[in-house]
Amino acid sequence: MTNKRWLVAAAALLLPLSLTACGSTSSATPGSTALAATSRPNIGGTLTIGIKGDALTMDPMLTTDEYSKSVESLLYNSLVKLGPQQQVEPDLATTWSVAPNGLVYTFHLRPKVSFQQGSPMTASDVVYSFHRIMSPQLASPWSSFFGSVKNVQALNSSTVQVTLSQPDAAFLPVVASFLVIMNPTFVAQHNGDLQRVEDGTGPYMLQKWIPNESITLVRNPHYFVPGEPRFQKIVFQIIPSTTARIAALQSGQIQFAEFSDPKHFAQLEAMASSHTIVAKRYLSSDYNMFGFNTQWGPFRHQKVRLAFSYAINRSAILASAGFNQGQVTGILTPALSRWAIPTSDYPSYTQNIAKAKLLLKEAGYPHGFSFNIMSPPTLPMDEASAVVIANQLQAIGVTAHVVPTEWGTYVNNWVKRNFESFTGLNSDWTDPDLAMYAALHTGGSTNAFQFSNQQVDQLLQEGQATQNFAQRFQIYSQLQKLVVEQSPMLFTFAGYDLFGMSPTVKGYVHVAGDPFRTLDAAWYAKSHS
Amino acid sequence: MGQYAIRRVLIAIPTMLGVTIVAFLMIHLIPGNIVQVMLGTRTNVTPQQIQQLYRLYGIDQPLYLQYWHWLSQLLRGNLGFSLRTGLPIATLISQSFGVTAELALGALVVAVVVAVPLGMVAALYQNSPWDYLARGVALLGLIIPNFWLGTMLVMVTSIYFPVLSVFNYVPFLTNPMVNVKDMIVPIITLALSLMAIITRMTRSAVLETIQLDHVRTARAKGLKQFAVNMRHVLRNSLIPITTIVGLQFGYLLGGAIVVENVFSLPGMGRLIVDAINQRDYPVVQSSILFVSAIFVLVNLVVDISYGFINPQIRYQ
Repeated sequence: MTNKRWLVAAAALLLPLSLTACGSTSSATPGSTALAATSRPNIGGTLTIGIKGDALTMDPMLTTDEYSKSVESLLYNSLVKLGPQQQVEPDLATTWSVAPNGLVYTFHLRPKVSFQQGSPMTASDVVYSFHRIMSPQLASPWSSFFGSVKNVQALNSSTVQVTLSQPDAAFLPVVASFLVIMNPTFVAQHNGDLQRVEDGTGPYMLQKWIPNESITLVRNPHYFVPGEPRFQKIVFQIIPSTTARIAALQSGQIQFAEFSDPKHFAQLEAMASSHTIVAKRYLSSDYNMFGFNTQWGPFRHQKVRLAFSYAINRSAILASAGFNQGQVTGILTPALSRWAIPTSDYPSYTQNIAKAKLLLKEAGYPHGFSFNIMSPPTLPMDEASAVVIANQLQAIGVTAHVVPTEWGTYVNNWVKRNFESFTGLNSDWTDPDLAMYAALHTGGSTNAFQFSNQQVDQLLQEGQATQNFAQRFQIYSQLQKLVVEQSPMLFTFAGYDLFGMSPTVKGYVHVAGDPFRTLDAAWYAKSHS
Repeated sequence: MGQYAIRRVLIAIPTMLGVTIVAFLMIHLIPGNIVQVMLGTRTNVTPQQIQQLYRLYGIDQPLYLQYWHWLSQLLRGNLGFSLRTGLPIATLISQSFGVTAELALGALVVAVVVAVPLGMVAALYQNSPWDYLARGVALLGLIIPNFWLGTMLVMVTSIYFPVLSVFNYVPFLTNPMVNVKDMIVPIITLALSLMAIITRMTRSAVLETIQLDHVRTARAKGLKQFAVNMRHVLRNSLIPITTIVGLQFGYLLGGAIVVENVFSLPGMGRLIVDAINQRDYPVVQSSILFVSAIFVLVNLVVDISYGFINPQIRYQ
């Protein structure tokens, strides 16, 4: 047995029994977007991707799980898409314009685009798709994002005009993230039930779906981007065990996999040193946080919440719970690099126990208090974060009890606001308005904190109504600082998106929040069967 | 015998009715429902949309109506459809149960073939090195957890025996050779702990039997040792061994979630656990009912087998 193989075997031996850190050195560069494109793109081969769970539906307008979204992102297109820096890029619309009042968007469609089953994609299909996602009968969980849409009409077969009832600066990111263009004839043929069938315009077509085993996609030969996609087939192989996914990468049975738990990254890197796989990490738009019920006991006081912000050590939380696979963050993660302000701008991000104790005293809790932290074991980083935070709060005389809570129960408590505090994972999506409005505006649908602040509400509304980037940036910079000062939640760290892939996979570009869509442009350096 | 079997089947009917009530209540009474789990904590939905989804999934109705709707479908032979995937539950169960049955049966055969001779040798040569070896192996089987052994075997096979490394299940009828090759490692993983239990049970049953009068008489009348062991010792030790084998087989048919997860096998364990996590009520209820029916059936077969093992046992 060679030394490297011993290393891999030893890592496998220890990993299942280990609950503590494995170390976290990394040779990969955070934020790097592509493998070096050293070879000319080939067409052909089968890319097998290891994913943790099965998809539940092929209807993107009803999808809420990450596995379905991963597959659907290769089947459908939207009018626009987001690039690696979260910039809006053309997709089915080649150009678009926005009226000076911010209320009218005009999209000019790409010519000669067909749905996979042959019918041409026209402006009326776009109008239908808007109507479908907004339809109360469909009850799409994403329809609220289109609440500002007043009217959608086809000006001609290749031009669509969308009129909003109020300016919405996040409209294009919303279209890119949640709208897909569907074929109304196909939808009608299936009585609106797209759970197991699809007819998109995307680079791949659904060929075979064996529940709980695999999903096979085959290349769309009529895809509108010349020369793409490159792989002949993409197979999503369902491998629930992380160790098994790593083993499958090692044995070459899969060539691409995402890993959500950072403690496995060290093992992945150990294997990467043997050159059989490549371990990569990218900035993620998800962040870990500690949320307060701002209507419960001591947490009604802003000073108590701010005291917690001063009392915790975010770098230590990142090291212990996130295995150093991430970055300390505010409400906007480093992945939203155009918008996020540096964490050094937040005074309470420097641990200061004396200041924390003073704030507690001013709030009327000089001797501390005790409370519960609800945390979901399904998100190991959040459960570990809760333990570290509870430990750190002892320094200011506060006793926290971590209550591991099964996911269904956790969501039920979250919906009913039946908690004192909780740890969880939140997403910035693709725009500061999407990251903040629903979570922080008074009565917002994901404002489980029951937080209400007039100044925050006003800035959120201004941010939504402002089109100019520089002005928006000013508003959201102010908001980021204000939110940390008000602390309805404590942002701890944004983990990395961790991937393992075969060294023969070339040309992969990572987009935070939509990491599989860009596989249409990736290829094998040499021929694969 | 026939009457006994019919009576047992009739007794099973109220048992199964009880199972329907327990399965239904358990999944409905735990906090969190399918809509909440589906929407999670990140979707931006209005209360009206949530009500619409409740109506869509039929969970806005009172529990007794939901139960009656499910039961009346069951009585018509319809197990229902998955709320999350839209697939017929009968299809899901038939796919998953095939995997689990193969895994359980394979593990049982391997365990019995190894454990019964091992347990007999340990008992017949009590306190000899053979006994210590058998007891040591059995102890190892008990203390090594499935998840660790499975994980180790996954890693070791992926590095040294990639041909045995399996991440996609191929049904036996599709390709028997590939199926058998792929199932070897999961079956061994599952068989080890089963083997340990059966070895210990066989040893203690044989130890008791060899002290009985009829065994001594058989030896005294000059029967060869092998004949005594097989005809008089083993046969009379089979009742407790059969009982434990039957019980274990029944449990395994309910799904071996750990082994199924480690080896990516789409069996009953994964089907049920995933459905519980997603609060996919019809899948949970119908799967539990199916597993319970299988358990009752296996126990009936075990009970009937007693009469063949020991003809003195009569069924009233």
